[in-house]
Amino acid sequence: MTYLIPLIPLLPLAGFVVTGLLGRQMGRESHQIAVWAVAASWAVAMVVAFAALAHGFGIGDGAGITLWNWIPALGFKAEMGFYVDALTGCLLIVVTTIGMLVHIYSIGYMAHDPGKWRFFAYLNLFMFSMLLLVLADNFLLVFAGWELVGLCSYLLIGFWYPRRSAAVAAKKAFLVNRIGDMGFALAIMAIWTQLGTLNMQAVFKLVEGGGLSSTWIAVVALLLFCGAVGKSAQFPLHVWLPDAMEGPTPVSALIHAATMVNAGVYLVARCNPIFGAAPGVMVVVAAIGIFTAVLAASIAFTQTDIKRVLAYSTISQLGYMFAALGVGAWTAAIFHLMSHGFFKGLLFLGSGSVIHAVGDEQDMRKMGGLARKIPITYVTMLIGSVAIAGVPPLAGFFSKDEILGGAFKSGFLWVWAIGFVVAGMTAFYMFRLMGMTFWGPSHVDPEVEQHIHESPTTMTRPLILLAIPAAALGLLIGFPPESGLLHQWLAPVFEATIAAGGRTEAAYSFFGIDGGLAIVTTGLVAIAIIAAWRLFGVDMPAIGLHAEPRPDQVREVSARRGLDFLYRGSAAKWWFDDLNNLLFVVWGGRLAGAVWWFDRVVIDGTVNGVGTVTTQAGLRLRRVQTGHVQNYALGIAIGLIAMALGYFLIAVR
Amino acid sequence: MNWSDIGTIAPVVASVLVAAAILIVDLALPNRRQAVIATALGGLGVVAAVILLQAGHAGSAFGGAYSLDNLTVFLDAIFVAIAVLTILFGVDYIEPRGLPIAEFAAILVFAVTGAMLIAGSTDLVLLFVALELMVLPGYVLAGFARRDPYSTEGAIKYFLLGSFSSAILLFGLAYVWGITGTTRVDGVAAALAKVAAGGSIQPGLAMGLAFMSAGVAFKMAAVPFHYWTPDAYQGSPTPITAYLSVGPKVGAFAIALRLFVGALGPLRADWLPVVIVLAAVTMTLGNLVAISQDNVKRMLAYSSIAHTGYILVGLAAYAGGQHSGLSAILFYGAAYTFMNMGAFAVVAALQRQPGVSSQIATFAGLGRRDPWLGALMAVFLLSLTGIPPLAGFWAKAYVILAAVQAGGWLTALAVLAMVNAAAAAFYYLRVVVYMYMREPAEELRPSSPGLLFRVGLGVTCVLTVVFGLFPAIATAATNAAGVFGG
Repeated sequence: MTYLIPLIPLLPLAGFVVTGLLGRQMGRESHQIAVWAVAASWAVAMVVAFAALAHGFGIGDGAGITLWNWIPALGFKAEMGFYVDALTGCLLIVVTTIGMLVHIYSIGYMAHDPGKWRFFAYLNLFMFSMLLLVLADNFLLVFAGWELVGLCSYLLIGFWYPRRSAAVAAKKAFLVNRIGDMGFALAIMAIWTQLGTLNMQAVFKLVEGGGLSSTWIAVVALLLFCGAVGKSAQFPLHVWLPDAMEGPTPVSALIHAATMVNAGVYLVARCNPIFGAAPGVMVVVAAIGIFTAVLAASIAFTQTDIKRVLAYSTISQLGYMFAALGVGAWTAAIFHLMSHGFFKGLLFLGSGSVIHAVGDEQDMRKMGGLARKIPITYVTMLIGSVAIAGVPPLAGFFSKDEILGGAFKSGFLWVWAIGFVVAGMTAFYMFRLMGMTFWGPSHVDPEVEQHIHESPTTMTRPLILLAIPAAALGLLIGFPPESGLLHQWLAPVFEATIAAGGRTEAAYSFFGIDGGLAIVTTGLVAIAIIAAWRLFGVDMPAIGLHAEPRPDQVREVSARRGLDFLYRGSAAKWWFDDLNNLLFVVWGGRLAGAVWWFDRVVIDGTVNGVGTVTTQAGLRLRRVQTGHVQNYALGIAIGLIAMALGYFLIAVR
Repeated sequence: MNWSDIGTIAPVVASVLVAAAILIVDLALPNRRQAVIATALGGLGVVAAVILLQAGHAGSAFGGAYSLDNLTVFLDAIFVAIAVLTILFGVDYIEPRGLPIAEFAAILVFAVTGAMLIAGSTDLVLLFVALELMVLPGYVLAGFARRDPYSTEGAIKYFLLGSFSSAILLFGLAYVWGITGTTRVDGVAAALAKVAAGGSIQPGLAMGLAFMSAGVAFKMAAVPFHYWTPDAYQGSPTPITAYLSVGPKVGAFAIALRLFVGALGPLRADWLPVVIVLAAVTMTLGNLVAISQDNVKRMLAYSSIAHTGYILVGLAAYAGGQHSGLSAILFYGAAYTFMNMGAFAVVAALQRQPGVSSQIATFAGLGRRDPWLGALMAVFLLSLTGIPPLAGFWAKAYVILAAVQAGGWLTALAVLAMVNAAAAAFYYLRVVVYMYMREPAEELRPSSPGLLFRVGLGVTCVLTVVFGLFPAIATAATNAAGVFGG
């Protein structure tokens, strides 16, 4: 079975190479090879994932395959090897399934783009990188995948690079990610110097066996978490993700919602033996996660760009996952990762369909009343929204419930309380989005209004296919709560860490604390949905209910309650971009100015001196090449004499 | 001489027979170029098979004048690969210019025979004879385009200076013979071990070392004995330049291994400072002058001088006590062979239409005009720069690593090598920039090289990538070959 594993990343890599080299010549059909490569990779991945989740078929609780010794260098060793266990299996399902559907969706979405071949080549490269990241069996290889997905993210955010905002957003994403990657790189160096191996399973064994002092464990865990914070857009490195929406919408769905941003969650979950041994760092993880969740949710309240709302929602949901990891609810985090991957991928693709329908308009204030005009998009997005809001029995309900329950029962009451509020906020902003987009009277430009049409089938089918797991995944793998299929799958991955933590959780009680929590949360969600519906959605003049979804709805309500400052804060994204501007652009600019002065006067003076000398020397030396054999022979003779003198000096030493 | 001697030198014998067969076929079937090419390639295939059969065996012939060991096999394999690739690249270039293909192939195979003889030589006299057998056909090849005045001029210069330096080397060998009383490498090493144990060396030996160092430095094109390189490289037909840039260079390093490591190994503390200075000056000057070149062929010529400097770092690391420096040299030789021949081959492909120059402007817009050729050139140039995961990266990494581990002055040399590698990126990547970011000045038809040429390009590219992704494949061979004689 393990010999199938290398095929999973190699197929998209082959697709990338072929599409990259020949795509331009293939013209309109340039998507073919890319799509089929990913479809084949998906098929193989399903087989491998099935074997891994069944804990059998040659994989059992985890099996690896080493292809070759990647870097043999005198004492240092890194192998090109893959490792698959149930955790990898879960990630494989999410990455390849959504990846394939996004590829299919993009056939329609990018049909008229002259750079279509480039787009598909990048998408395939991304699939390869992401699968490399997920499958790698050593930290260096994970890092390679980590950097490659970062590169693909950069390339795809800036896909429409002639647009200045896209180019700037790509650069921003790249630079912010570098900060986190620095931490990850340092973590790898620390692991190597302390343990002498980079193979993950070996490292975990050594850590579990006490091969690393608790200080070093904490240092490594914190550094790894730094990397995760950057890649998964957590506070304070969350600023890049909303801007990343400058990329084409399928990219937002695939990379910036369903897969790449999960890499941080995956990394922390994969390194559970390290994090589990560092309780202090776990609290930091939980705190950053839940703070990010509430921060991003509050910003999502007031954004008017449909994709930006979803972007902040993604940050918020990722915060949930980190909170779950931090409180030790490992399985719940992966559960939410999976369900979120599906419903957020769905919502992004749906938003792409909406944007497509209204002529590339992203401002929700210029939408409204679209429900009847693009019914498939509407229904599928409604399913996604209900799922993310946490309405039973859809996927989001189960995964969120497990996170909140886990926080509550493991004593992190503050995490539970904030998470509870965020659940309500999530429901509200999602239905605000639905209301402004689909319900109420239309605010679409009359010119555009006539051309509104449902998207082609290559775009709607992926929506329908994603709506199924978004709706049913929770029941399928998460029921009964805390002992569903997913828990059985992932038990071997996390059981050692959970046992080492010494925390035994009470069984799930429908008629006890767990059921109670679920009912309370669902109640809050229901209230939030009704409030959003009342504010943005109702358009039934017949029974006297009429809401004009003005752009200022939230502001008016908050002003009436004397909470205007909250509104302004949210709309300004809590001034993080301004803070960064002040820190890095203004103050950093001044510092850079000073450095520049130093550079110009002192360094450049030296460098230019060296450069002038170099060029001059080059030109002089060129002139040595006179073309006259006599001169050459003379030169050789002089060299010989110099050499003889040198040897005599050595001889008399 | 007996039969087992013939068995030991079988690759050399086979190679001579191939060269003779090419001439006979040409004589018997005039104007049948396919027959000539088939004979050459098939014959070299047989030679390669003979070499592979010898792998793992050891032995000596002619009373110890010729040795068969892992080093011999490894170098022989590289030389045959060079010959095959040169023929693959040469056919497309030689024919349209009306030059005789059979002479080209035969002379080339003779040259390579000499190189293979060097690889196994463990006698000073045989070493010299083998060297002459390698370089004399080289002079002819350099002047192969005999109606082209540049080709003739370069060949004459190469010949005059080459003879000059051969005499210098021979003079040095004579000194060693005079002092040690033997020409066998192991005998020389034993005698010199006594000298080394007795303290400092005598002026006579110092004189001999100086002459030998200068002679070998000339053959490997180390500064300040490199003058012949740019003229000979630029004047020669491009596929022959590709050969000259790798064949005689690897051959020269084979001499360095047999002579300096094998025979003069006991005196390595004495020649170490010279090699360090030679390496430092060579890579720095090679790069400096390469930066100011506008002609890609000439740029590659100077860059090949710089690569000599990097390889010398490996030799210095050996002299500094790191035996891994030897396998680093061999890895470098193999990697450099394929990436450099590939780069020259792309230049040759562009020049398939006579009249196309190798000025850098020719490369403008190549990535768009001819995506395959552009991508290949980019791979070769990135590898020459030393960017992972390509062969050139590991080549530099192993050499530098060996030097760092040797410590002392070699650490400084390693730092200098890294600075040089960074500086070299400038002129290599300049070509890449031209290929992908400049619009072509004039509309050139995409050159469509023939099948043989494409096979050659494919092989060099695949090997450049494979050695980069799986350096372990090559290090297994280089580590084995790095353990020999001294």
